[in-house]
Amino acid sequence: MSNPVAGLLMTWRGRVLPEWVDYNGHLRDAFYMLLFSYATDGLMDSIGLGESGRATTGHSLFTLEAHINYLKEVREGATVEVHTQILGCDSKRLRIYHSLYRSDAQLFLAGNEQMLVNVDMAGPFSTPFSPAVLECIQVLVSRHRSLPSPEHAGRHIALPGERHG
Amino acid sequence: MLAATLHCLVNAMVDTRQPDRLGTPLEGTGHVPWDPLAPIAAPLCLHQTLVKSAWVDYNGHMSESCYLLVFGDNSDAFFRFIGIDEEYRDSGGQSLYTVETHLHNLREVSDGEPLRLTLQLLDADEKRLHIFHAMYHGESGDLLATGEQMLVHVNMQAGRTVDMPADLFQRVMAIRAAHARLPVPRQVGHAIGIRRVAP
Repeated sequence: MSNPVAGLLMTWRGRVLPEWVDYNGHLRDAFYMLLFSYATDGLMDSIGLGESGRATTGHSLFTLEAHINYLKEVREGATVEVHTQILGCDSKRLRIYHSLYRSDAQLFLAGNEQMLVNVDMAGPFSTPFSPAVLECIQVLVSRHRSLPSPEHAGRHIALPGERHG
Repeated sequence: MLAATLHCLVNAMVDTRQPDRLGTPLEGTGHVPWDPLAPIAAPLCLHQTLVKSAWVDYNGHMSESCYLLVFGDNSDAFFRFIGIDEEYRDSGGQSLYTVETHLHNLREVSDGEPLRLTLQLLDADEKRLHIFHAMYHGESGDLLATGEQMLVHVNMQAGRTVDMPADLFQRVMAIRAAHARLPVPRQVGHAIGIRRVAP
């Protein structure tokens, strides 16, 4: 079987803590988002927006939009990891996809697409990426361009046949 | 926004079987008796809270995962409104699971500020509920964030979707009818996309 995370960037790895699970011992939906937020922090570290990069540039990333697909339940104590693909960028926005896997089985647990915007913390207002950060992003974009698009990217939520407006 | 290194632990209700687990504010309170003659609010206003200090990051703003935590508490209030509580889960072995979520973060909010939640039922069938949470600032009325979710009714033991019991589905359809005249929020049905991709 081919490795589903080949070529992606591992942005977080850890164990599911007792305070993140529900009465059934399964990860609560809000805490999937916590893991994905940690993964965004990991991505920021690798594009020069870690703690020192933020201090130097005065910039940070803000999540405008996030879409989560929950596919499998995740038990307390499981070791999981997030692998991240850059789907696109412009001068100040970044579209990414985080995939949550169980570490031991390459089992796909959940996916999270995010739209991030670069902000100048002095405002805060949106502003173009600094040249050094943009260069790091573009290296990842070119590395990830040939990878297949994640199955759940670009989805919207609806019941079959549901229409609004 | 950075995820703060926090686990949203403060003010958690303690479960004696799972002492570290974080409960919801309504846990153990049962469901609200259903009155078929009572008018149904459109949208439903079932939950308000203050931003807890455990929810904010180093900048003093609420962390993004805690928006979803608050929407989860709003869902719990909705579940109890339609009759789903611990007794329903334990005796019937059935519950509602979230299969998909779409969040829009519109404004930041700080420690101690009041939040007021609404919930709109966009659509439903026997197995599924399509819901929309809106989070407003309790004083200014500013829309802070929205959360759109697809929930499925599941038999937890079998791990598969099942129809809701008739009385539950009837309540859901009564809410659906009451919410049918509401405008569809502009965030609904949105797919994430970027118009230009760097060369």
